[in-house]
Amino acid sequence: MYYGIKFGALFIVVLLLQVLLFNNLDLNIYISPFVYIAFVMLLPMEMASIYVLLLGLVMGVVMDVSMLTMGVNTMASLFTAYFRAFILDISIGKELVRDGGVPSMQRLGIVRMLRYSILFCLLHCIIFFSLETLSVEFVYITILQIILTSIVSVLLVFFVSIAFQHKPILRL
Amino acid sequence: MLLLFIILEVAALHFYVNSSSYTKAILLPISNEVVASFYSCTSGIEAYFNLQKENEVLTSEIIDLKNELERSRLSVQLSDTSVVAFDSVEYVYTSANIINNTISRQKNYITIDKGKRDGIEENMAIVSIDGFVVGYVVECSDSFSLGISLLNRDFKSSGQIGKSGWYGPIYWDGMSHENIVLSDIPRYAQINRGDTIYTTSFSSIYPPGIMIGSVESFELKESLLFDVKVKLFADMAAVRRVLLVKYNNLEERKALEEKYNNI
Repeated sequence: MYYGIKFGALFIVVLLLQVLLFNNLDLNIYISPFVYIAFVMLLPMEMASIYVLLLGLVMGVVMDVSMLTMGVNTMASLFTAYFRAFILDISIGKELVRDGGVPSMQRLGIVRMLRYSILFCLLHCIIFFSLETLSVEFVYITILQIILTSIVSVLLVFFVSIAFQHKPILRL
Repeated sequence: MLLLFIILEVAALHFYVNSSSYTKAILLPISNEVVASFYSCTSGIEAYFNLQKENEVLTSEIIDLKNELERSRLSVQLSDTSVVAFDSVEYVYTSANIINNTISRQKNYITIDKGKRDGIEENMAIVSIDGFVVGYVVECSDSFSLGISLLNRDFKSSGQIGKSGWYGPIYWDGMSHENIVLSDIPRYAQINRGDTIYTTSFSSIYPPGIMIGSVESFELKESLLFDVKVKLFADMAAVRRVLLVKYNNLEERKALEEKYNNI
């Protein structure tokens, strides 16, 4: 129940951030920050993979509707949601994954958390931009888009994860 | 689990691949009511802060129009035998606001706060208030319209170089929100940096002579044809108020052209 409220809040916060702020930034074609990735990324590690997949689907569809991208977001977030367990295993290690909990810097240490965020964002961006372009003609642009957007997204996701883990000073 | 993943992924891919630039707008009615109304709310706040600039533009517009009026009054006096056929106007203008616009995607779209109810139709040209090409309407719902932006890989139109009159197709290469490409200009054409690019009369969407941009650079492609890099006049990142232009003779013209294309 507690998790439910907490992740419901996270869902709404990253959704609003993405739709109202980052979708409107329009910096250039190379950088389009994805902050909504953080939602699937920060789901508890012990969560059944079917729920992760379904939540990824919901987030992707909402993003497609708001960005008018016709399925690209859905495909990318389904992909990352499905391979999340695998990414967790190779970036964090099976031991820590088995312990469960929300992936965070305190729990995993900065190196593992960074490795996890980078892999996650990179995978998402690779799927997103290669599907959006759907051609090899502009492959250099696509690679540049993937790299630059991944860097910015990793920073954003990291920031969200820190804010999400922050213990409120006033406990109710 | 794997099966579910594959089914969902294939469904999304199917939806993506089968959506042409026109059917893409089917999503619009769904996202309209929620997203568009949200955007019209937030862009209302933004518009408030742009009022000052807006006013200046409008004032200069009014001055221009007044001058125009004076001139035409003068010419009517001079040649009172000429008949002005007001009922046969070719182009009808409507003003509207952009409530959502992206420039960083490969396929950028523009959402406009007027729809079928306001007489907006598909294939109406979208021109910025200062008279530069921005895009054209691809789909309308009752109170909103979706336009394809100049900055969309699916955008196709034609342009001509002002002084010399050479023309060719224009498209966006997906690189920068400030440039588009005018291609297939013959190698013997006279091109100078700074030449203005206009819309052509071949277009069934744009009135001829609407400004698009100016020549920034040009290079020979396969030593046969020039690719001209055009710097857009419209600031695609800041455009807010637009004019929608309806071409009254579109149906008639299309019917005539199609008659011979089908033979």
